[in-house]
Amino acid sequence: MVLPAIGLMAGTWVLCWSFSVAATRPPGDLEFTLFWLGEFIGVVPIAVRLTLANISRAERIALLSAAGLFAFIPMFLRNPSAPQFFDALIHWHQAQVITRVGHPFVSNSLTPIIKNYPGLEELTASLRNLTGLSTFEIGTAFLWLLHVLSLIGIFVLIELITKSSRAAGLAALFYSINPAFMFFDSQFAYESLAIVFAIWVLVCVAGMQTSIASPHQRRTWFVLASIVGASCIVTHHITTYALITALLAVSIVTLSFRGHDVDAARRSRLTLSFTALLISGAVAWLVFVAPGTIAYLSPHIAPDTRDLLSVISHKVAAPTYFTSNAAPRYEQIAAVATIALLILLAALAFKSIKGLRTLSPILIGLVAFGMLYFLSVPILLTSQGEAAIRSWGDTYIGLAALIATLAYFVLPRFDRNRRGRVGATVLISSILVVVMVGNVHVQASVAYRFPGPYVYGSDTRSLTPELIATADWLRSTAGPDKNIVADRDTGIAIGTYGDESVAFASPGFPVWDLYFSTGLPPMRLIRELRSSGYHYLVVETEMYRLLPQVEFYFSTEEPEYGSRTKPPPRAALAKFSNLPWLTEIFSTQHYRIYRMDFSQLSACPTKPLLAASLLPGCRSSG
Amino acid sequence: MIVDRRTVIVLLIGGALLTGGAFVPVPIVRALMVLLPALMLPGAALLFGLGAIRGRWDPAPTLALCVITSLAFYPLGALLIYVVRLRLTTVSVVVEVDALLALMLAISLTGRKREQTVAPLIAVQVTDNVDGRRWGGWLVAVAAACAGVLILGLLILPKTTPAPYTEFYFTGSMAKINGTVSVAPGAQLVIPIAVRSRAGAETDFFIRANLDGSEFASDLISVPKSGTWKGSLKGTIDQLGCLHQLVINLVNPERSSTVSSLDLWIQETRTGCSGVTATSVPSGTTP
Repeated sequence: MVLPAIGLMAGTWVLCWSFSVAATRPPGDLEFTLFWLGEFIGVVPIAVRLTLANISRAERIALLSAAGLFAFIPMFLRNPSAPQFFDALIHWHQAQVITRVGHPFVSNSLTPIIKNYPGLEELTASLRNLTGLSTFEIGTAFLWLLHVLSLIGIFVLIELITKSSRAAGLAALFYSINPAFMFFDSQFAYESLAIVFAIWVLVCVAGMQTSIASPHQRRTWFVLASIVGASCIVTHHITTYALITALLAVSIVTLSFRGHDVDAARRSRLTLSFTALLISGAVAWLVFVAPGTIAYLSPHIAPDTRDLLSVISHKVAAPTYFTSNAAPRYEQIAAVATIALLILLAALAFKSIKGLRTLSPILIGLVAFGMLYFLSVPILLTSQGEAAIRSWGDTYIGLAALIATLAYFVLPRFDRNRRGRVGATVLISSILVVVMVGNVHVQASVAYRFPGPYVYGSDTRSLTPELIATADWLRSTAGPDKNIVADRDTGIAIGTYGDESVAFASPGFPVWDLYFSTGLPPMRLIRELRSSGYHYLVVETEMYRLLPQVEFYFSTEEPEYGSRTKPPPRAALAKFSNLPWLTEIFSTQHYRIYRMDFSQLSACPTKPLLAASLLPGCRSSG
Repeated sequence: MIVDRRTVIVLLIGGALLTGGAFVPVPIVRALMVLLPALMLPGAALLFGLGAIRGRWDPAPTLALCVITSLAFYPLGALLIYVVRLRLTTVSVVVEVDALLALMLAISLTGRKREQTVAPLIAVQVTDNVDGRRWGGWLVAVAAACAGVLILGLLILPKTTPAPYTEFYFTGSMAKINGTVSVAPGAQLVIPIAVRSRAGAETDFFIRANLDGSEFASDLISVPKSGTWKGSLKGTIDQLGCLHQLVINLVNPERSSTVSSLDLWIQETRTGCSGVTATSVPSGTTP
């Protein structure tokens, strides 16, 4: 009771210290050392307690709730007063707009797909309307809560299946170290909410399948699963599809293992009915409300096989998930070791299972779903590696079931003597530490994890007070909802803090031509900008000095994405100051705002400072 | 039956707190009154209506289920509000929660006669009798202590100092300029500008304006610490030609380096200079 409490408090303090070091000193190893020290001080005593056989179920739930709260601390320290992550900013702004206009389907220029999945924003707007708190306060409060709810959800799910609170506790703790839990699913974004809905839908399905449940209880679980499942559908696409995949696995196993037991057949029918209902709901939403989802997801879902072959044949370098120079070497080693460890644990779990038919069908289905983790690992070597990592937030539910199976069968063997108990505790804590370090390293870049000096094109560290002031000035001067041309780095602030509609760059609307080229942009683009009412252009001068950390300036569809070795030429920046159709109306050290007036395209200055090719009016006049 | 009545009373109190609290004008009081009922009430009403919290229910998982059901209710409720063509406002959200509460109470009261012996969805376990309260208290105490440590850490540990910067911009109608400024020959041009400094000390700047490369106007200004200087540049256009470029540089006098700059295209309105459409603010006026 005392040790975990002291560990959590001391861990909180050391985490605060690590973020302070990262914010105030030049980048080094100290912030990483303190970060991991804080995490271990907080989490390891909880792991030790949860490993023990003779502690109460209530203690396990309390420890898991504390672990859930503790896991949110790094994210809170990263953004204590305002959202900073790219997705969080967009959802925060979308929630603000939905609260203001009072209806859910509002266009978003930065990520158009979120218009069709308004669950998170509707929830936030409803709570804002009731409590009067700000979007950020509401978001922070329920993200703390979602962390606790997800771990209790995994605990209840596994306990319903295995009837072992010990296995359930360890499975939930294991889930809390999944790659997304500490940062990605801690941000104010639709997935953070949907994943918790998905976990609780599985809890409801497990409740339906419990053999001791009465018909009334099964109906109740069914109704609750339908409500939570419907909210999952309107909140996030990928999580809904992952949930459907998990339910299909469970349904197939349930159907195969039902035998001649009448009750089992009834349970199987209920599970199948619910899966069919969820699929129908998801398909209906996709067809009637969110048809753009397919076009949005297809480039991410279909990983380029040629990418994989190119990496294997050493034609191109693998992405840097395991070799980031900014993080300490031990993190990189842990990232690789995590995958090896999980393969080992999976093998051990399968070896320890005595007869598949002794297990609950839902457990087998979930474990099968968890095996998708291993299928996704090779995708890390392709350009779609990030999509694979994002899927781990879902597949870790299945891996948690796998860990529960292992704990259920193997841990009692260690309970026979003190040496065994100590050995089990040390082993579990060591595995936990390695997997936690490896997973955080793979998912969150250093610029996402820690505050620190400006990093161009890093989303978090390029969102400076200077950029926010630029966005504020534009909103106060031009008014909100104006069409603005900006790169991704400035666009995120202009589109959220500035409340403007930012041009969505694509091969069909290549606004990057304005920025990259030393010549005039194609007339087709100019005509489109003119007819669509774009009057402002925002430029970040650092674009011409630095390469963006995210490897693109506008979108992954831009020329030279991922292969660019030097920034666009400075002459491309210089031209803005001397074109008669651009007037520089605002500037700071790093940002400039130009007013575009396309009626001046053919104007010729008295003293032209640009080549005649850039000043068509000068060509015709002389 | 006693537990049922108690639950009904708790639900009604929650409903009253939410309904009344949502319209309290004092923000902190409103948040304190409403946050907990908002997170619990829709889920609790649903679970009660479905007969899931009768008898001796397991507190932690049932409360978690209650909150998750509430969180799931709001997006669906908001969609319903949208479908019936209402706006999502405090009134509509309060009505939606109250309607759900009333519906669930009605279902529960009518359904109770039929199913008197319904067990809770997640029943309390024998081992949890005393331990539950003890560990619940432990969790609250640890969460509060960690929150204290967190606040202390944020308050006393060194924080990053944002890099200073300077905003330089047109003001008034010149900030909303579209295209060139039309100027009659010999008329005085007044250009309102501002400098906002985000530095920790008072800063001096030179403002140097060049028209087609020749000096147009200059000024030495002092911008207060984290403050704004507002003023204007004045001058007459006496160069040859029709379309002139005015470049206004903000210069750091110590380093003689340009901090930032603005520019303006000026169209003379004299005879022979009408080749290009000029949509502009009137010249010679201070916006």
